[in-house]
Amino acid sequence: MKKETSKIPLLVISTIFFGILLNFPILNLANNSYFILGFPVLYSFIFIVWFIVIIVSYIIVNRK
Amino acid sequence: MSNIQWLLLGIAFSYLILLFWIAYWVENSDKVKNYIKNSSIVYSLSLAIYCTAWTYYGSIGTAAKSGLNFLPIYLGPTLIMPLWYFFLRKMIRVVKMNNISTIADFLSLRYGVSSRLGMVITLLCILGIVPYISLQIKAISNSFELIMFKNAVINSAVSANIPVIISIVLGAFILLFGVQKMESNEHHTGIVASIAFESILKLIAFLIAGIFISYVVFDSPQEIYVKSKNLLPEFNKLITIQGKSPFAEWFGLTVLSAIAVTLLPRQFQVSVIENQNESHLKTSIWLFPLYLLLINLFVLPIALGGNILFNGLGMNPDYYILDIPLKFNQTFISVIVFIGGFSAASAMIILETIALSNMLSNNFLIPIILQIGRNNKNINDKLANKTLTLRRISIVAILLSSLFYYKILSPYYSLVSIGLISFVFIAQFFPSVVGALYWKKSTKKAVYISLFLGVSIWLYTLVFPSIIDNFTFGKNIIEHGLFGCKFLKPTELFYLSDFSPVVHGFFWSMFFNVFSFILVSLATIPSNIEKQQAYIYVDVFKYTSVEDSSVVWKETALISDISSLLEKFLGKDRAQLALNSFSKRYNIEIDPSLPSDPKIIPFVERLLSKIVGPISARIMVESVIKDKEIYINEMLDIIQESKEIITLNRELIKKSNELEKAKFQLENTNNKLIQHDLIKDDFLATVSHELKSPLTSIRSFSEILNQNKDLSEEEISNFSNIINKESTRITRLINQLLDLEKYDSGNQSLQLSAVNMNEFIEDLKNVVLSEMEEKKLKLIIDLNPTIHEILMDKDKIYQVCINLLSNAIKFSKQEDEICVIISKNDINYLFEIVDSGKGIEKEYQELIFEKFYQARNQALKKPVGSGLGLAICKKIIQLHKGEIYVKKSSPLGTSFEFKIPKINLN
Repeated sequence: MKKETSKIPLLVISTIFFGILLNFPILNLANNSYFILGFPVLYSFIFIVWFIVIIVSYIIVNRK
Repeated sequence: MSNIQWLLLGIAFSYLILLFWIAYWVENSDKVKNYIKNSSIVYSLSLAIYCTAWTYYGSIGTAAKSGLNFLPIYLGPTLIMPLWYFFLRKMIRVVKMNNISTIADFLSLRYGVSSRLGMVITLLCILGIVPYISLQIKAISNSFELIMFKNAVINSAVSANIPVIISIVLGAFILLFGVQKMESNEHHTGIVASIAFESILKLIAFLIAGIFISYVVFDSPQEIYVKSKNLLPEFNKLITIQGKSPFAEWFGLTVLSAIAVTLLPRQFQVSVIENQNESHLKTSIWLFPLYLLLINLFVLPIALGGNILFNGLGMNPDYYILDIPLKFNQTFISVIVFIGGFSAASAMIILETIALSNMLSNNFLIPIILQIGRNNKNINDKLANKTLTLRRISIVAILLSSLFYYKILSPYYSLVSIGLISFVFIAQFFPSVVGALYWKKSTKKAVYISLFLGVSIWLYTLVFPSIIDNFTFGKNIIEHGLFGCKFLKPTELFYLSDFSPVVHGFFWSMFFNVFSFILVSLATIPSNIEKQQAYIYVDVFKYTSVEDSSVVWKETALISDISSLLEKFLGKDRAQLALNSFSKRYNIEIDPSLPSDPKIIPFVERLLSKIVGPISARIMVESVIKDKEIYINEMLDIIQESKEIITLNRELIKKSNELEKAKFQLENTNNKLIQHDLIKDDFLATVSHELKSPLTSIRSFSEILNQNKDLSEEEISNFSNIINKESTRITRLINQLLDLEKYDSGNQSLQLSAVNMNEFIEDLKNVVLSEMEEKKLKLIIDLNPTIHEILMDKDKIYQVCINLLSNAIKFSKQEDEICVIISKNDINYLFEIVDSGKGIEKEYQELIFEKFYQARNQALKKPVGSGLGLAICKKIIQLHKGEIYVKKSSPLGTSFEFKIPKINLN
């Protein structure tokens, strides 16, 4: 039982990472010279996702 | 030199002294040392050694030239973090259990405890990683020169010697704090604390520079982007992922850096060797990616800011972070940035040198010395004295090689190119490491061949083109391919031209490496020792202790030999302490004159492996052992024999149980037979008695009749009646015995028919009428009016009823009543006969249905009868699948009841 629950962070975080940061069609959508609030859209997108993923990782690893 | 130069040198040295002090303070304060050891944050920060000068300066250079292509180098480690908890935890467990101190130990121990493989890996690592160390020296040297050149006329003597001075100071630091103990897998807590401090410092320095450039030099990052868009023609390229195969490039670099962050010697050192607690990995899963995010936050603004400020000036973009504060005469910020870069580079140099020097001494120098001196009895003595010296020599050798590389080749490379080439090199170990941990079939031959192919292609596609491009020879090969074959062009191998050189080299080297590793592993058979090590690595979580996984030794060494071997490396006191603790733990007496217990061999090997590494420890132990260890095939044989013995034992136990059971059954049967014999004796005695009584009467009265001719008519008639009655009694008894025998033997069967109950009762009345009249009894019949017919054997139930009624008549008082009640419920028909006799005591209510019970208990009550009637009744009712019993009994009367089922008479 413990072994199964310990796989949850692995599955969730891997899905988020591989699903978004290595999802080339999604990256391709933002791969242009437009701006969002004055910042390059792709650059902003990557950093926002990166930050969200860190928060999610923290929550999953520290859950009781 | 100007004041600023002196100041800068002073700050740099002060910083190094601070590092020394931190390391010294931590090592000498138990409280602080324990805190550092137990801190998962310190562990996570020490992982940030991944961010070297290449990150600090090189990322900005990459971003300034090719935009977002610097990001995969940090996304890769971020992506691999969730998998780390599983992959690295297993690696840490293997390392701790086997006292492994380097990646070369890790692979050579797994693949056949091969010192030769360890040597090959060590040489390859030095070949691939030394340029990376020289890159850090170059970064420090360049940043020094940059600041000095800006502030004063550069002193060429100082400039030329900066790398040497840096190497000497860092070398001193490593020699002081990196080689304190003989144990090569010791935790360098002081150094780890220094590295964590450096990580914080370089992050703060980078953020200060980023904030200064984004919000002081420019109004905001937004302004940088707007200005870049207007001023820089290549702006679109810089804020998007570009190239011939942009996403393949992105993917390739991400995977490459994910592998590198796990296997680079310095990363292996901090993440695996220096790990104090597996649970620290949980913090690193989120803290390390957060660190990477923060240190990359201002890379693009700084790069674009530099491009705007130095557009067309031909500045090296690697050093924009230093150039911009200098341009604005911000000496303080420049110095902070310099210290940040200095700490990034120095941390890497320190850790990488420790890792490589451990590898060089344990996996190369010591095994060579042991091999050369294998016939020299005193070789262990000599080696014991020289272990620390060898490690110090290794440190100096690594730093000298890095300086040499820096002087000869480094000027031709950019920071990024050297870093990435080293990444591709270290990735060549990835298939072997994964195979070591997860695939028992992987073999040493596969490791050799895959490494040979991978490293060859790495040299051909990445190193070779750089060298010949710089030295203007062999350009033909680059342009036309090897032997004029275009498909062998180093930068477009097999016509693959869409990738950058690094991803191209990475793709082909890994392609050949992985496939050759799999194919050769499938085609070859691992040796016995490889199989054994495979079990230890792959199933590491099954073993709870090192002893579980150790090699079993058939024979053993003399305690004196073992003690002497330990004393050479541990000193007399520690060796004695170790042997005493072993003695206490296993309750084994240590007598120097006797051969040791086999358990002591892995114990000694483990102690030695902490000092000279597991491979050399194995060689040393073999030198004092009397016999060879048992390999897995022999172990399997032993296990097989044990299994057979266990199976045999199980069968014996089973047979024994069966015999026990049979004995018990026999005893039961014997008891039953004895009981039956008693019953038979009892039965014969009873029958004899029952027959004897009437026969005695018959004989007596016959004699009277015969001998007394003068008897009156009345007397003759009386005696004749008695004789007749007794004869009838004998006949009835014999008939009953015959009946009972039939029931017992199962020869009796039912003749079922639907019996009209009114007729049945009438017949009963007629039979018992005369007897009842004799005692003036009254018969009351209570038949349920809904019962018309019952399916039963009429004659047999008739027999039962007659028997019960006869008993009732016998025991009833004169002029009393006997009731026969016939009723039914859902399942049965119920026949109840109630009399007004003296009743039957409870303890006899079941016994009266046994044969001759009445007869056997004449002392209790002896009315007229054979004692077989109720036994026969019971048999008849049982044949009907019914039940007969005493329903109630009191001194005022007794009620017998029997029931027969309504259906299911089959």
